[in-house]
Amino acid sequence: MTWRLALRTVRGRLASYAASAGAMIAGTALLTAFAALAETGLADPSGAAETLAILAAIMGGWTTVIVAYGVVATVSLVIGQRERELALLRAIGTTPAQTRRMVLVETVAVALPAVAVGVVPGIGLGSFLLGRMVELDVVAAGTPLVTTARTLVVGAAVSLVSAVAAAALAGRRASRIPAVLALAGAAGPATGAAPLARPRLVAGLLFVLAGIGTGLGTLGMANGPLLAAAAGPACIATAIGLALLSPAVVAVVGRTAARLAGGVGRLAARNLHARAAGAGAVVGPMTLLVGIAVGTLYMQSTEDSTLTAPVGPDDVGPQFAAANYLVVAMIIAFSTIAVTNTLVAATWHRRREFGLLRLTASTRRQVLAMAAVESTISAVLAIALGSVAALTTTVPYSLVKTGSPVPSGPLWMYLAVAGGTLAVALAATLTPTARATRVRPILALSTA
Amino acid sequence: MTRTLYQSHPTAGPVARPSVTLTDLVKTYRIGNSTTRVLDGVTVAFPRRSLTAVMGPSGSGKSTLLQCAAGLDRPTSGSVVIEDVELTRLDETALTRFRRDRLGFVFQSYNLIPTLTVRQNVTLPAELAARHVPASAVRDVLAHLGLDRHADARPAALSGGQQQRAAIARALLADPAVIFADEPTGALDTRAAGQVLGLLRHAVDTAGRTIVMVTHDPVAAAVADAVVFFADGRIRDTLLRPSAEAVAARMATLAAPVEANGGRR
Repeated sequence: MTWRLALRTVRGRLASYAASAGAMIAGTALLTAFAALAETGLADPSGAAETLAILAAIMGGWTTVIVAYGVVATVSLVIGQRERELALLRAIGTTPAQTRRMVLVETVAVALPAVAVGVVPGIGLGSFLLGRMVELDVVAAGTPLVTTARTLVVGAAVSLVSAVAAAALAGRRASRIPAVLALAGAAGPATGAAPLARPRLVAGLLFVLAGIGTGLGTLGMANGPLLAAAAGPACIATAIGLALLSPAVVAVVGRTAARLAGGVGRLAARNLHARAAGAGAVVGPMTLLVGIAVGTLYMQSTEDSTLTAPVGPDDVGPQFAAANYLVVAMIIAFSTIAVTNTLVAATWHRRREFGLLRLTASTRRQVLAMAAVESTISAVLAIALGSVAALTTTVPYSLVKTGSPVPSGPLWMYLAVAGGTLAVALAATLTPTARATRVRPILALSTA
Repeated sequence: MTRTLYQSHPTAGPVARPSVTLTDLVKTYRIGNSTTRVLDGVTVAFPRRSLTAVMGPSGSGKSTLLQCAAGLDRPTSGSVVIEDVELTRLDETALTRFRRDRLGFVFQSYNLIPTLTVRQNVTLPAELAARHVPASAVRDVLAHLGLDRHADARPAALSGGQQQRAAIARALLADPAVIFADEPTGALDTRAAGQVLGLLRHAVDTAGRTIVMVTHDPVAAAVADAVVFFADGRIRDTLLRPSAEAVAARMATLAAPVEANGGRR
C-alpha cells in the first residue's frame, strides 16, 4: 500500500514537488528537442546534416547529466524538508525498504505527467532550433523536422530514467533518517551534524578527479573536431563534483563570515553555517550553471578566435559556432529554470522561520535583508566554484588550440554569466521571501 | 542506587511477568574527545497491564531511556526485551516491523502526517503492514476517542488535544502490546490533558495495555501505577500509586543532591 501513501503525499505537497516537476518538464523538452534534431540529421539523405546529428547527440548527452542532477537536487530538497515526517513514518512502522519505495513512487508519480507535458514543447523547441540552424546555413533550407515515435520515446525515456535514478538516490537517503528524530524537540537538523556525508564526499571527489582527468586527457589530443567533444564534459564533471562538495565550503564560509559581519549579516552567515547541508541544494545547481556556461562559452569563443582566415562560402566553421552558442544557450536556460525552482522551493519552506524571526526581533525589512545576504553569499560561492570548474575545460582546450592557457573571448560573457546568476539568485529568493512575509507573522507560524 | 527493580504492584494480576525489561542499559555519546554517559547502567522492568511514568529533570536521560526502550534508538550496551523479543539483536527492518506490529507511539507534538486525514493517519500502520482493518473497528476507535466527526479532517484543522487523541487512536488500532508516550500532555491545556490521560488509563485498565510515559507533569504522573524517578542517567527512586503532591515533592528534592555531587562520577 506504499503507493497509496505516496500518491496522497504528492497530492498534499504539490507546491514542494512543483520544483521537481519544473526541472523534469524543462529537461524533457530539451531532450526531446535534441532527439528530434538528431533524428532530422540522421534522416537527411545527403548526409550534409550529419553534423546536426553529432551536435545534438553530444549536447543531449550533457543535458542528460544536467537533468539528472537537477532532479536529484530538487527531489532531495523535498526529502530534506520532510525529514521530521519521514522520521515519524519510520517510528510508526515504515521499513527502510518501504521508505525507499515510497520516495520512488512519489517521484515517478510526478515524473510521468511532467514528462508527458514536456514532450510537446520539446517538439516546438526542436522546430525552433532547426529554423535557426537553417538561418545559420548549418542545414539546407526546407529540411523538415523529423519526429518519429523513437524521438518521443528517447526524449521521454531519458528524462524518466534520470528521474528514477534520482529517486533511488534520494530514497536511500530518506530510508536512513533515524526514527528517533520524530521525538526531537525542535524541527531541523541537529547541530553538529557533518555538512558532508561520506558517500557525498567520495562521489564529489570522484567527479572532480574525473573532470580534471578529462581536462588533462584533452591536452594529449590532436587539434580536431573531437577535441570539443572531449574537453566539454570536463567542466560538467568538475562542476558536479564541486556542487556535491559545496556544503563543506558553505559551512566554512558561513562560519568565517559570521565573525566579520554585524547584525543581519551575522544572522545570515550563521544560517548558512547551520544549514550548510541544505544550502548545498541551492549552491549546487548554481555552481553547475556557472561551470557549464563559462566552460562551454569560452571553449567556443576560443574556437572562434582561431578562425581568423577570411570566411569562404564553403567554410562551415562560423555557422557551426553560432549553432553551438544556440545550443549552449538552451542548456543555460534549462539550468536557470532548475536553479529558480530550487531557490523558490527552498525559500518558501522557510516561511515559518521568517514568521518566528519577525515575532521575536526582526522587522520585515531585516528578514528581506537577511535573505538577500544569504543568497548573495551563496551566489558568489557558486560563481567562484563554477569558475574553477570551467577552467578544467577552457585551459586545456585553449592550450591545444592557441598554445596559451588563457582562453580567448570577451570579458563581458563572464560578467554576464556571473551577474545573471546573482540576479537569478536574488530574484528567486526575495520574491518568495517578500510573499511569505506579507502575512501577519503569527499566521506564518501555523503553517506546516 | 544504580539499579532499581519494581516487578509487582496492585493491579498487575497474579504472576506479573514484565512486558518490558531493560538490563544494564548504557548509552554514551561522543562529542569531540569527551564521552557523555546519558544512560549509566539502567536496569528496570515495566510490568504488563500497567501505566508507568518516568520523570526527571531536563537532560537527565529519560527521553533517551524511552527511545532505547522503544527501539527507536540503539543502546551502546545492555539489553532491551519486549514481550520476550531481544530488540538489540534485530536489524533495522526487523526492528521496524516489531515497532509496527507490537508497539504504539504517542509523542509530544508532530504526531500526525500533515498530508493525510485523521482516518488515513489512524489506519497508516495497518496499511504499511498490509494488514486489513475492518471499517467498523476504525469507526469504533474514532468514536471512542470522540473523533468521529473529524475523521476526514486534516491535522491542521484540529486542536492540539484532538490531534493527540488521533495519535492515540492510531496507537490503539494497531492493538499494541506496549505504548510508549513522550510528554503526551506537554503541549495541551489542562482539560485536553485530562482527556488524554483518561484515555491512556482506560487503555491499561480495560484493554490490558502496558504504557510507559515520560512526563514533566506531576498531575500526569499521578494517574500512573508507578513513577520512576530518573536523574543523571540512573534511576533514583520509584513511587507506587503516588499523589500529584508526593510526585512534586519528590521531584523538588531530586535535582538538588545531584547538583551537590557535581554531576556523575
